Parts: sequence; C-alpha cells; structure tokens
Amino acid sequence: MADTPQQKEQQQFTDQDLVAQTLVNKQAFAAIVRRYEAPLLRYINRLGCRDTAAAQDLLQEIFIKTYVHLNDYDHSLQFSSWIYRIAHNEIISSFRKEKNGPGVLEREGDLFLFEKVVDDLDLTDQDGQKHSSAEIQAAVDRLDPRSREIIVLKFFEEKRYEEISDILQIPEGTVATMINRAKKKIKNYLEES
Amino acid sequence: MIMLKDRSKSILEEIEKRKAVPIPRWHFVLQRFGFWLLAAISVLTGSIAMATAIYVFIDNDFIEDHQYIDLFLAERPLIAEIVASIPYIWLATLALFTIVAYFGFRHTKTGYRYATTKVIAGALLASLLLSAGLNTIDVGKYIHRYLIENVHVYNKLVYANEHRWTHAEKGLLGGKIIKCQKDKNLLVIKDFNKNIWQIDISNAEVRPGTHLVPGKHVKITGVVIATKTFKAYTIQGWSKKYHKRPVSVPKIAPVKTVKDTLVH
Repeated sequence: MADTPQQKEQQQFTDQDLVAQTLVNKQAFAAIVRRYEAPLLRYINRLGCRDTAAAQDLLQEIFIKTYVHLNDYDHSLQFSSWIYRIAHNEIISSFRKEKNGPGVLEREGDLFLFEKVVDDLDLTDQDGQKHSSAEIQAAVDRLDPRSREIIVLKFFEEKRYEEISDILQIPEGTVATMINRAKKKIKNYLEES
Repeated sequence: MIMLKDRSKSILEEIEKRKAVPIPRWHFVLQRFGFWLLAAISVLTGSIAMATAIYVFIDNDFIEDHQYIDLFLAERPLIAEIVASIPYIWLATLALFTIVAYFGFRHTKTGYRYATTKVIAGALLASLLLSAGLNTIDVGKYIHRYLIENVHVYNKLVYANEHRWTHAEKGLLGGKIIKCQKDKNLLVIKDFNKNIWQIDISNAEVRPGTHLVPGKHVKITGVVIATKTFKAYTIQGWSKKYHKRPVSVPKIAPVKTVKDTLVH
C-alpha cells in the first residue's frame, strides 16, 4: 500500500530539517506536531497528569512554547531531548501552579512496561516469585516526584542516560545515581509491602 | 478540548490567534553571553578576593619576623594568632562569588553536563591562578591597604598585620611616612588609626632596603616617650613577603614591656 503524504513527510525529513523549514514557513510546524503529539501526550500522562482535558491543554502549551523558542534549539542536541525538556518543565510548572502533585500511574497500556522494571531490578518476593506489575506500579506511585520522573524516562520513555541528562539538565553521573536511588526505594517499598 | 486528529491544525490556529512568533536568535545568544559574562566576572571578583586574602595572610609577621613580636605573641598562643589572622571576610567573598560563577556557568548551553564539584573546583582553581597573577602587580595589597585606611568597618572585619603594628604601647608602631627630616632625626608618620606620630630616629637601626620617603609604609619598634612621640629602635619597610627579601637578619630590638611603657 502506498504511503500517505503525512507518512512520507515523517520518513523524508529529520527533526532538524523540520525545524529549519518551520523557521521559514510556520506551516511546517504541523509535521513536528504530528511527529511528537502521541509520545508527548503519553509522557504527560505518565508523569501523572490525571485530567485528560488538562493534559490536552498542556500539550498545546508545550507545542506553542516549542514554536516560540525554536531559535534556541541547539543542533548538537537531539530534537526529541530538547522538546522533552520543554515538556518536562511545562508539566512540573503546571503541577506547581495547581499545587497538585502527580497522580497514580494507571494506564493499562503501560502495564507491560512495569514488567520491564521487574526484569531490570530482578525483583522476587519471599517465595522467589517475581513481583507482579501491580505491585511495582504501587511502589512507583509511592516514589517522590523526582525519583518518579527518572524512572518514567528510563523505563517508560526508554531514554538513554545522555538523553535523560539533556532533558532534566543534570550531569549523566547524577542521572545514574538518581536511577540507582529510585531502584533502591522501589525495592524497599516492595519489601515493606 | 482539542481532538487528537486535527491537533496540528488547531495548534497552528492557536499560534496565529496569539500572534506568536519565534523569539529571535540574538535574544538567546545574548542570554547565554550574559551567563558566561556573569561566570567570568564572578571568577575575576573571586580571584581579587583570593589575592587580597593571600596578601593579608602572608603579610603577617608571625611567618617571618617572629622575633619582633615574640612578646606580643606571649599574650596569645601562636596557633590562636594564626587562626585569628585568617582573612575570613575575603574567603567568604571568594565563596560567594564562586557560587555565583557556578550559577552563571550552570545556565550556559551545556553547563548542566558538568558535576557541581567539578565546576566549583574549576572556578576556585581559576581564581587561584588569576590571584597569583594579580598579586604580581600587588592588587591584593592595594585593595587591603585602601580599605584599612579608608573603610572603618573593614578594620573590624579582618585581623591584619597592620593591627599588630598599631600597638605603640607595646613598642610596635606602623604607618605611612608623612614627612622625613633626616637632618633633625625626625620622621612623621600617620598610623592605621590616622594618628600622627613624631618619631625620633636618632638611634634607630634602619634595615637595609628601607626607604624613608613620604608615602612609604614602615614598621617601627621602639618606645613611647611622650604623647604621640615615639623613639625608634629599628625601622623596616613594609615589604612583600612573597617577594623574597635579601637575607639580612637584624639584631633583635629591645621591645618595651607593658609595665615599662606605663611608666611613661
């Protein structure tokens, strides 16, 4: 089956190409929106935005901010890291404004990702059985916002250390430390339960 | 609520509605330059603070000329004297500007990639190297001397060598030469408390390399013989400790005890 024009556009241009085109013609920004709307909406939900309408509004703000700051994009960075950074800052700022912490991770579609956390941590209960996804989910929900962010980026968004460093604007060494600390916390919560 | 399928269109409409345009590149370039400038100025200011701290500490006489102040030190153990002589105010200034330098660097394009300890250590090292350069042209000395002579509060914030040489009653007097009349064996100096002293130099041993000319600072040992009148036993210039003086050990000058001084 032949590719649609949008599919062609997705394959044909790199993020950098689309940024350059947008700076000449803002209509090209539509391609960036199409490319990133689904991953960013998932990220907003995973960071704990429970309200669907609020998530949609937040997504719109993220794209508008991205458009306004396009000239600040540093081509030595991956565009995805840069747009995730904007998204992260907007989401945290929105939580602060609403004095509302992140909600629980309850997306069914993400359940298989909890299994990845189980595998990575090699977690077993007292009977030597692997902890269930539901147990891991409950432990992740108990994490403080900073630890949770890092777990979401590492295991759910599948970002590399370098990308997480660029998104959260912290050194890679700190990323590694924070991931280890978050893993320990998850283990402790599971032992307590 | 915006529906997923036509989001790109609605976002472009929203951009249009808000009349949003990309912020020009020069704005971000200027912003980054501002942070680099802040970091650079902070390192420079930190290096000036460090240069002054080094000067104030090294200028202390307990490092070289302890013979002259043995009596003075008898009142307080050497370790307490050293601890008191650490220029905390300058070290605090250095710490403050190192933090500001870290803040500035952290906000540059890739500043976040470096560990805090590395950035702080780098800023301190840069300040140290710059301060060594600044002290070759006596920056630390001029700043310290200006402040000690003109800013009253500064006198309370540091315990410098000048304070040790502001004890005429103990035989230690320092200050700037105002007038020198060698034919009358008279020297007029202004001490660090801005008092004017007449110095009788008729029997004084002047250390080699000491220039008795107006504007020069000197250290004088001797005894108070009348109100604001001092009889000098030895006179030495206020030379830099880090510029090694020619080795010339003078005789230990008799320093008056407090008891003797009270007789006058």
